[in-house]
Amino acid sequence: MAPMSNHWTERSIEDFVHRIASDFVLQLEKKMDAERMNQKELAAKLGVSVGRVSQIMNNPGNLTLKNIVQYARILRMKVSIVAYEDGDPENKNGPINSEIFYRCWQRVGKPADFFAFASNDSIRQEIPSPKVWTYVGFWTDEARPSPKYNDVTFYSLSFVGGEEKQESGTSPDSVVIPSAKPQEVRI
Amino acid sequence: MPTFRFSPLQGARTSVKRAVGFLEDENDASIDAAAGFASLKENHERTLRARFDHWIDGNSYPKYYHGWPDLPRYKECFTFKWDENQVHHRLYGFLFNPKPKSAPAFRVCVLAYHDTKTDDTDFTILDRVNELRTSAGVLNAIRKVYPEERS
Repeated sequence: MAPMSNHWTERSIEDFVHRIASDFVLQLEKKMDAERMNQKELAAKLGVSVGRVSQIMNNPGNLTLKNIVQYARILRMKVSIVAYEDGDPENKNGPINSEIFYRCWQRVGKPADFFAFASNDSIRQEIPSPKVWTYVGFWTDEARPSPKYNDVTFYSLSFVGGEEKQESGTSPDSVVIPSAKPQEVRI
Repeated sequence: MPTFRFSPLQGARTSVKRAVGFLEDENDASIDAAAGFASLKENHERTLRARFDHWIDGNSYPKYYHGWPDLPRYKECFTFKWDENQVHHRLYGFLFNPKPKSAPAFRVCVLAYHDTKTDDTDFTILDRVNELRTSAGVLNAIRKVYPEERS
């Protein structure tokens, strides 16, 4: 067998198309199982021969985008095309299975638009909001009750929009000053 | 005398959990899964490769591949399936962990035989798979490719 340094879908566009079409057909087959629908019934609904459906199931590389939508809609499903970067530009590991994207979308509550996506609690929990502390402040011994830097409490004076604001909170690592004396820190 | 050789499937995605490969014996042509796979027409080869990918990814779909977990005698046996001109084709093999100490969750599917299926499963082929599965020569050939990692 000839050695291949990349995933087999890197051999040709046809290989890549076949693989992602196979993922789609697997989704169709699972849906047909759930609906207790066989290929004959699917063919009847599509108005094509059973042979044609069988051919698509066994050799999905010939599916067109139009066919994909037709097959999905017959099963009351929709289709999205997702382009993504997965840190594998040379395609050593092949495409991510489409069902992974589907399950992720289900897991975050099936957001239907970007507003629902942004307001979704489960997403908020998984993606920490970037809390940027911009301040000039003072560290004191009293303000550092724990030797563990991540647990250090700080008090700060911040200048946001020209207004002075006093705050306290948990220090990010980068502002820890290892000194007992009050320090002015600026980040 | 058997001279077993194990070759990991070329072009497969890498996973810490699963891998697929072929067993061959240059003195026994009946161990023909690798030859069967190599002789596939382009589209059938792609279909089977996609099914290998699905299994390696941790997907589950018995119409494409399955084991016999409920049959103690054959619970390590495994098959990948595809249809070609209305004939049901099968690659038969077994699941094996060649490095139980350093990667206890890892399983490689060692494919050995190619066959076509008519009605029910022919368990004689699974018995032949079991013979290979317990052969020291076979297991050593696999362990050579997947050695235990030293910590």
